[in-house]
Formats: sequence, structure tokens, C-alpha cells
Amino acid sequence: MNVLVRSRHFWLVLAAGAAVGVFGGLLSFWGNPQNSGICVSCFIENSSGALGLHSNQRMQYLRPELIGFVLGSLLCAVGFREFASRGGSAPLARLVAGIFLIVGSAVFIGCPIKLFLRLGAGDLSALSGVFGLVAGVWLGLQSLARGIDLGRSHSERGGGGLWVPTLFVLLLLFLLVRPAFIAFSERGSAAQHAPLLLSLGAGLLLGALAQRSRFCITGSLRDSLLMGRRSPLFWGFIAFLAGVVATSLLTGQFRYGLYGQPGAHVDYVWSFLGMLLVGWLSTLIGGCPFRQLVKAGEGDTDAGLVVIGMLLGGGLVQTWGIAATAAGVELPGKVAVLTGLAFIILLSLFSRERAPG
Amino acid sequence: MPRDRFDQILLAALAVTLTGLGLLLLVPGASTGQVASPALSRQVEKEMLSQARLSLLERRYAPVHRLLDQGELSAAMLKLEELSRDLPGEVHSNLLRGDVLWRMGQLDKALTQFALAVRGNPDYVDAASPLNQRDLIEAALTQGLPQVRDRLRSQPGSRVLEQVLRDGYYLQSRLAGGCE
Repeated sequence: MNVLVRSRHFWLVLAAGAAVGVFGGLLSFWGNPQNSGICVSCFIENSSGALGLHSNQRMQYLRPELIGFVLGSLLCAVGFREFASRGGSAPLARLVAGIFLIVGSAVFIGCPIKLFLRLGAGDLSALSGVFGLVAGVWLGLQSLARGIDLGRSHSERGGGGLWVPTLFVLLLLFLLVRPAFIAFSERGSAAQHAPLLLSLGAGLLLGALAQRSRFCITGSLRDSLLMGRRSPLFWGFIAFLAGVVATSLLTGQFRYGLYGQPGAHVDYVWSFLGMLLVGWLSTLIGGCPFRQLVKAGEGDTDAGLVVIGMLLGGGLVQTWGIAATAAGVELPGKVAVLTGLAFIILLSLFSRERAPG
Repeated sequence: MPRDRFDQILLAALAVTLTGLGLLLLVPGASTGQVASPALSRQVEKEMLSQARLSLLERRYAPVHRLLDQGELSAAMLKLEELSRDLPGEVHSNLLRGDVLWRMGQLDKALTQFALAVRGNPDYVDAASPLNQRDLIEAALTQGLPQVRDRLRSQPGSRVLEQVLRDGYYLQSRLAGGCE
């Protein structure tokens, strides 16, 4: 522990975890939907809608936080000479994984960050998602330990790592200029947002901190399961939880209970399975949806393809009725989660390096 | 950075393309201006559709509102039945039926109707929408939920009451907000 406390990286992880937790609470206090100060999957669904990938008029807004995550990471990676175009590890599988990350999150109603924002704000219905996420990460670890390997990434020529950050620069332009072909909701949850500069600023800061610290929710759970208290990410996760609960209490957003919680349902089995899907996939592809955005910002084209997959997924979950609502999970959502689990199992079977004879 | 002539040609071509793009976007009158863009037309169409819907609902359900204002609840309910026969899928009648039932003191049935209305059109719990009925639904919930819980305690296992309770929790959740 003493060695850990003396390392600069430890304090960086702690700061990143606390900042994600605090801004997660503050952004909903400043205007984002309740318990959704930061929710990568909700923001992706909003952004897909704004780009015309679905027609739910209540879910269309280019969320500045997402743009901030990618560009904050890009600026930080360039500043610290860590930007490098790399990729080539099962690209198409990662694109599909991106779609299913959003499927799992949409069925639960929230990404892993929002899962803990919900729990920290007193929403006990999120507990089934916590069990699902931990089980998913554990399954991912078991899969990796048994030889599942998506292949190595390698450095890429042609500046491939710049394309996803360029897309997000374009999205920033669209957000500022607001051309007619970009849709912005005037009602519904996408019409609720914190002031643009605050959202963008928070996104840039969190993207930069996450790039330097490698902070990630599923990564924290993975390292906690593997190394316990010796892992800096374990302490980053504790700081994140403390930040969430403190901000929720201090801003009067804490609302303890099982029923009637904002953006939540009580289909526990499907919440569990949705988050199991997200946890398992995230462990196999090296990070939760938030981490994928940050990695895409530092030039990782594999993560960039996950991000593109997530944007496609954002359109599909709304168009096909996969996303759950407070009323629960409908048949398309249940079918999509089971299809996602079948996808991981097949991917594991095909990507496994087995011991000879 | 450019190493040879071909690099220089590519950079020059890029500069010309970007300048052209900039001129196209920034200079006024670059677009013909005769036809509205499809995206803009879609936005206008969306807005017109929303306004038309609102005005249709107001016109169609005006007799029910009149009867409600006069306190003639049974007549309002009969009028609603008549109107829903013509437009069976329109959830606005569920909202108004909930209102009538709430005024009649039938809180459990009112909650069920409000839940049907909000499931069909979440605008009823959206503060920014002209259809916003948050106050009405909140009032029905505040009065209705404790009653339903009490009755469920005296009739444990009643499926009807359990469903009403679920409807109540659903409405509470929608009123609380969240991203969906």
C-alpha cells in the first residue's frame, strides 16, 4: 500500500475516479436528465438520433460530453506524445461488440458509469445490474484465462487513428453551427441538458484524466477481482463511488428506494443479463464504453470501430424497440440481449487458442 | 514535410478543395436558395404535424372538457366512450378518462388510465410539452398510491391491485425523469 501511495499514477487514478463521480452527479444537477449526468450509452443514443440514425424525437441531441471525452483524450495523448495509430485486432468483431455494448446498456437503461450513478443516488433497482456487471467481468476474465484472444493490434500507417477524432471534431462543428440536417429534441430527455460549455468542459477534463490514468469502470472491477487492494484502479473505483454518493447527497439528488426511480425498471433478470453482456464484452475488448471513447481519442482504431458500432447500436436500439423503458423490457430487448450473449460465446469459441493435444 | 513534387501537388489540391468547401459553406448566396433543404422541410413538417395533432386533440375533445368544467362526470365518461370508438388507439382518451375517474374518486382505475396514456405518449409527463399533465398525474399518485397499498395489505395477492401498484410505480418513475 505504501508503494502504491507514493506513485504518481495512483493519485492520477484517484483524481480521475473522483472526477467522473463528481461530474456524473453535477451534470445532472446542472441540467442533464436525472441520474444521467454521465451515461455513455444514453449519450450515444442521443447522438445517433441527432445524426438521423433513429427517429425517436425525444432522444436527439449531440451530447457535448461525448465529444469532450474523445477530444480531451486526443489533446492529452498528443501533448504527452502518446498518440499512436494502432489497430487490426478483430476489427469487425469489435464493431459488432460496439452494437451489443449499447444493446446491453439500453436494456438495463444505462452504461456502467450510470449504473453506479443510479446506485449512488439511492436507486436500489440498479443492484441487479451491479451483480450482472461483476458476473460479466468475471466471465470475461475466465475467458481470457482460458485462451480467448482477439489478436494483437499493431501500429498502422496512414493516420488511421485520426479518423474517429476527426469525426468528433465534425460533431463539435455540427453542435456549434446546428445545421438543419442535425436533429435536436425540443422535448423529452434529450431536451434536458447542462449548459454546453459546462458539458464540453467536463467532457474534455474527464477525457484527459481518463487518458492519463486509464480509468475505466469494468477495468477497475477486473483489476479489483485480480489484484484486490493492490490495484490503483480499485482505489480509483472507491474514489468514484465516494464522489457519486457525496455529490448526490450534497446536491439533493439522493432518492433512496426500489420503486419509482428515474429511468429505471424492475425487470431484474433482464437488468442482470444486460449488464452481464456489457461486463463480459468490455473485458474481452479491453474497456467499458467510456474507455473505448478515450482509447479512440488516443489513436486506437479498434476502439474507434467499437465507437462506430456503438453509434450504429444507438440507432438500432431505438428503431427496433430494444431499449427498455420504466415500463420494463419488451420482447425485442430480450431477444437482442440473448443474441448478444450468443455472439460472445461464438466469438469466444472462434477466438480461443487451445493448448495442444 | 512534403518530400517530393507529388506531395506538393496533393497539398495544393487539398488547399483548393478546402477553400472551395469554405466558400460553399460561408459565402451567402452560394446555395441556390430556391428550394428548402430536405432536412429543413422535415423539421417544418415535424413541427406542423405536432401543431396539427395538438389542435385536433383540442377540437375533438372540447365537448369532454366542457362537460368536465360543468362537473358532469358521467356524461363526460359517456362522451369519451363515444369518441374512443372512432379513434380506438388514441391515448388522449385514456388521459381524460383518468381525469374523470380521479374526480369520481376511483383512484385505482384513474392510475391505470394515466399509465396507459403515458406509455402511449410520454409528453403527458414532459414539463416542456404543451400536453404536459404532470400536476394532475402527481396529484392522483399522491392520493392514490397510499390507498392502493392499504387495500393490497387487506387483500394480499390481488392481481388487479398489484397491477395498479405497478402502474403507479411506473408513473412515479416517469415523473422522476431519467434518460429514456
